[in-house]
Amino acid sequence: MKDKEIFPEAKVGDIIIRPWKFGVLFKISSFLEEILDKMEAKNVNIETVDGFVPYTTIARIFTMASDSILKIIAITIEKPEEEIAELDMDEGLEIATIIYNQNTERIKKIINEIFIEKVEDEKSE
Amino acid sequence: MRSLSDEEILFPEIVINNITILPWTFDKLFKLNTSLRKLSKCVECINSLTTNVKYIDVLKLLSFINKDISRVMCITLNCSEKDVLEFDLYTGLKILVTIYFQNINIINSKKSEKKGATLSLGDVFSTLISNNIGDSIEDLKSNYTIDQVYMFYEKCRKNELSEQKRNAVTLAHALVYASPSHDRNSMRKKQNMWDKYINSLEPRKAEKPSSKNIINVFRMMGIPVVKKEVNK
Repeated sequence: MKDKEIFPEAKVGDIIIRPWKFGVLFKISSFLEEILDKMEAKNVNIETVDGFVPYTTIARIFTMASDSILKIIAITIEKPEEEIAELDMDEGLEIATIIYNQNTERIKKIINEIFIEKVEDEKSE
Repeated sequence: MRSLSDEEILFPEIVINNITILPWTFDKLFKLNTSLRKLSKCVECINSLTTNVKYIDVLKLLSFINKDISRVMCITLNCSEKDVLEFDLYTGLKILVTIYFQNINIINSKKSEKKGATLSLGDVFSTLISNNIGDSIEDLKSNYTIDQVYMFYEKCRKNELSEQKRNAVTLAHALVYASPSHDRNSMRKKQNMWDKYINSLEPRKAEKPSSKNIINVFRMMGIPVVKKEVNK
């Protein structure tokens, strides 16, 4: 309930994009690893502008690792890959951007809240 | 790595959303060995995090959430994989972070583990069992956290050493007491010394220093102690 209030689901056309549940992380981690490897190989950095990753960076990553991104989108919106592959470029990019911004910001906040606080505790003692 | 207090070791459980999380026992550590080895890169990534978490760090951390992590969570929490997958994002990540910090010393010491450590687990367990801590090896393996096992072991060793020290002191006193005396005075002194020592072993009979004795000690050190006048 709390999650829904703070992170409402987004809609692109008929497609509903919900923030990730914990279980989703286990399904997408290997694809994330593939994306990170490709980004490292091509020296692509994720730099944020006003707290968000620019559309152009997402587009660059999309062209490099489209297969892995397609799989992550399919898992997130619970639709077959073939259906997503049929979407037009703008729609696909918009969904990928929403998934990225919806989740990384939220996870970053959680990590900051529960992890960094503990690291600081450990260091201060 | 910070050392835990006795209280933190004795009462280590943390409850998150009605889920009780306890640090690992040896039994759990043995079961997790393979998964932990596979997660060494993940541990390195976590250890390199600073207070300023970047997006790339978040993605890296998420890329480590795999079968080995779910195995660590299932074994630690005694629950099924299905239960783990059903956690909401906040609870799941909080539990994961808690497991990491509860076992941080073990996780990081495993990374720097060296062969040929002088202290074997056999030594530790047999010392504990001979001191009536734990019914059996199985009991120590499954019902005591690793920190508890080592804490009790250290306490047993400390007791053993102080007992050895006490025996040596008793032997020294006994040798003085049993040595031949040349006159009655010397015999009485030895008897007094022995009685004092025996009494000192019983807390209730231990002699408390009188105020006169304390004043004398200060005077011997050259510090004059005078009675203070109290204005009425």
